[in-house]
Amino acid sequence: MDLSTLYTEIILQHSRNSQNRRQLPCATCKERGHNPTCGDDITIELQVEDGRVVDAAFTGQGCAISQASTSMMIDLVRGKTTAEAQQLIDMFLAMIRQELGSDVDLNVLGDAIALQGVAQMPARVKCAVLAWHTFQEAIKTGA
Amino acid sequence: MPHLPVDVQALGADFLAFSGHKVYGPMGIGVLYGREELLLTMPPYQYGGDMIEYVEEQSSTFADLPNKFEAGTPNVEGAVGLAAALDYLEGLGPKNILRHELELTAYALAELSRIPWVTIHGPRDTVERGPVISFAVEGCHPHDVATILDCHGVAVRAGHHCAQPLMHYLKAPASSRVSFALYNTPAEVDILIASIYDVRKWLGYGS
Repeated sequence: MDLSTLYTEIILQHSRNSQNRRQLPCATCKERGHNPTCGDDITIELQVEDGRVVDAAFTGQGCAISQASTSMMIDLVRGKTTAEAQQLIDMFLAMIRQELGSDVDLNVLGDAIALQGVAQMPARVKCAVLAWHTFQEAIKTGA
Repeated sequence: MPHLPVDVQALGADFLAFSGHKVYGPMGIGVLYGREELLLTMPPYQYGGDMIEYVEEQSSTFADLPNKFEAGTPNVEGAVGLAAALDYLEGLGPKNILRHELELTAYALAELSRIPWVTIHGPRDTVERGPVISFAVEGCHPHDVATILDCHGVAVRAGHHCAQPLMHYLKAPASSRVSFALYNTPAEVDILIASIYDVRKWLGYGS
């Protein structure tokens, strides 16, 4: 595993200086996600109106991968309908599971494409997917 | 086991258990010691081959110790491997192993103490600690620390170490933990220290 494919500038930026790390005063749903074995603990807040994610933010703590992944996901789903967001999340999870064909255009995942290398690191997969599963729970229960 | 000499008689232990893989033996086997007078009064916890004495239509009696507790097909290869590992440790001498491990621990404690952004959890000497050191690298989550050290050939454990209340007390999300064994060397401690500097570099802190 080459560290330079994992600890990229973009991942460090998202994990340390994310604009998405804040509380959302007008949140319509909220979901906490937790990796009990390692201590990643995030809370995602969403403002969903007419089936669209108007705004999203997160708080919490964890490793660089989990925090960057959360911030990247929020950038990606903001402004999307919940159905569009769901599709992107499925695509991200499939990328991490290495189930996507080579013809799939990963650019639609935005910055989250930088997490592709995590697929090679089984011990870190749960860090990368935490936020995405948490979002799925949030819209299932809240929207 | 295997870091401290253990004497069940001196301890007055009723029971004592340890795992094979912690004493350089195979996985899937371990040792359960029980005081004979207690074991004699206990019923079998499992029924199967080789643990009976006489079987009648309405009653049965059980084999003597230890067979009473060893029903069914035994894990022979595990037992042979574990015995070989214990013989090996016995040959080296538990006191020699401990001395070697604590020398490495003392050296690592001294080196880690010199790094201003490393916090050592627990005592700074080897009087009240075994050959393990839990530590925190400021600004770097233990899982990132472990991944980066791993890429330098240094295997540490990162996480709660089955001690979540302690992590709360330390106000730490988790910790990294290095442990020393009989096969480690001072040169490997040097690699650990150099790699910890690299962790900070990879996570954007310069050095």
